[in-house]
Amino acid sequence: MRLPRALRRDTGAAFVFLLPLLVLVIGLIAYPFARAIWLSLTDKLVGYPERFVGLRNYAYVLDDDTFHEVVKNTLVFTVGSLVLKVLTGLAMALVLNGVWRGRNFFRGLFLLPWITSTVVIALTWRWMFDAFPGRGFFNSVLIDTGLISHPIAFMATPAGAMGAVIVANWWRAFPFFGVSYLAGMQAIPRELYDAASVDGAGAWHRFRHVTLPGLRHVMIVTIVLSFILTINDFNIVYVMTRGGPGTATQVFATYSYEVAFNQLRWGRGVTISIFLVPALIVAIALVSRYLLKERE
Amino acid sequence: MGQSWNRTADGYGVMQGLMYSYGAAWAGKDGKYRSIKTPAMQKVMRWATDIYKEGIQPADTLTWTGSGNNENFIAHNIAQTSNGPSITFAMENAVAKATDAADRKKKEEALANHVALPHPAGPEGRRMWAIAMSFGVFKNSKDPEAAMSLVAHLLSPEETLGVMKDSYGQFAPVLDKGRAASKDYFNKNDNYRTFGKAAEWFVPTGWPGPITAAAAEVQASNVLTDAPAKVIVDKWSVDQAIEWEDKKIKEIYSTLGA
Repeated sequence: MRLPRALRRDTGAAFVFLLPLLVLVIGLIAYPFARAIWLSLTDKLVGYPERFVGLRNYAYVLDDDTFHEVVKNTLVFTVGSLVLKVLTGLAMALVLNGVWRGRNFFRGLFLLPWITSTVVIALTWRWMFDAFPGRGFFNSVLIDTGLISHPIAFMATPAGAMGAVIVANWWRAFPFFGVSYLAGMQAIPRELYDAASVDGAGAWHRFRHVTLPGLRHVMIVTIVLSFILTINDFNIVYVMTRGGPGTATQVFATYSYEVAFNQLRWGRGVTISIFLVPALIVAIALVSRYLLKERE
Repeated sequence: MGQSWNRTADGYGVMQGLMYSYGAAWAGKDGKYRSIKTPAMQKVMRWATDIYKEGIQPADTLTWTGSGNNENFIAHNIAQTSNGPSITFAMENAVAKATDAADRKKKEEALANHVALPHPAGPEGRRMWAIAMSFGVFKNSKDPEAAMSLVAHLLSPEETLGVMKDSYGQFAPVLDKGRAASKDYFNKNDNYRTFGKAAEWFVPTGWPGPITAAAAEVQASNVLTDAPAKVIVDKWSVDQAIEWEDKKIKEIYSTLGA
């Protein structure tokens, strides 16, 4: 069956208009992704031709004890940061939503961490957690106020170092949550709060039954977007701890970097990253679904 | 003291110097994997982990990144670290950038009161890890003669002296002509004499064998510093850590060969 001439002309024009996008999608997304999958099936070492090794890299990584720690560390880092971001983001939005005077000033002020360079943030937090009084902010304050007599080495233990990188990541991103939740709160009709008050609902019940349901979609989108960014975070961990002490803060991005660029094993380094793909696909599918639902 | 077993040359470089000075090399002269499960390596591991006991080191030393030891030395938090030339350079720079006479006096005193020494010798002698900067010409080079001429120029006494000065002592000459050309530079004071002399004790990664891809990966994979970190942080025994190290190194050599 032949298409009508006008439709054929439109199809041709549409293809021409789509071509730049198609080139970008294939060149910047499809090809690198396919190449990464291929590399993960080879023993590619920098300077040597790649050889197909099937699933050997995957088998190695699954058996690698450091990788097991990396999976655990990444989960703790990501979940810990997300919980803090949601709680403080909500608190920030609630406070700003109730304040009228200077709201825009505070909104701008709270966005400072979001626009500051990540490396500057990581170095600053590293300095704040430093064990030496006079250098480490927290130890200086605690000693000067007489709360402790000896400095605490926050970064010396696995838990302390993980806590420090979580705090730095949280501090950088919580304004994004706060501003998003504030926008969501301002979109909730005032009448719903009035009706709840008439029914005798107190502040907690209004928050629980009006605010939270009203923020549901915003919360899901921010959590999933932040999940994607946090699980891929490299800068904060690399600058603050380089994965140490030992491998206590080694996460996917830093371990993948170390294997690919220090050990020059590109095949194995890419394989480590590919283990994140299923989780990221689920996250991206969730965001897309909720964004499309909101548009409808 | 301030000795971090971290993921930088300050960690794996010092660890190799320590190992080689104890005779705890993992490779043989042929470059093949020998073994790391030796009494010498046990001594190395005990020394490396004992210095983390009883407050000899600042508690957060293991998480220092590349600049941590210099920062802590210059801030008077530690009295020793393995990173001589760059600290000297930073202290000289601080004098040059002093804001007033009092500041200058303080910084000059600090510079005068620090001393650079080679690593102490171990039971098997004094060996310090170093990277040999080498030049090569590709087989399929379009103009190998021009490439060789460039190499000759870079290795000339004048260029060698330029590299020594610009690298503030991080590089030491090994060729006779280069050593002669930089003699005055390395005679500036005792610290500089140590930097110049250091080349006499240099040994490369994978010593006593040649530098192989596998030996380089042992260093790059941080196995050498992760092992003591497992004892210090994860409370593994020294034997457990060496067993783990042996497994990792064997795996590297089995895939890359010697």
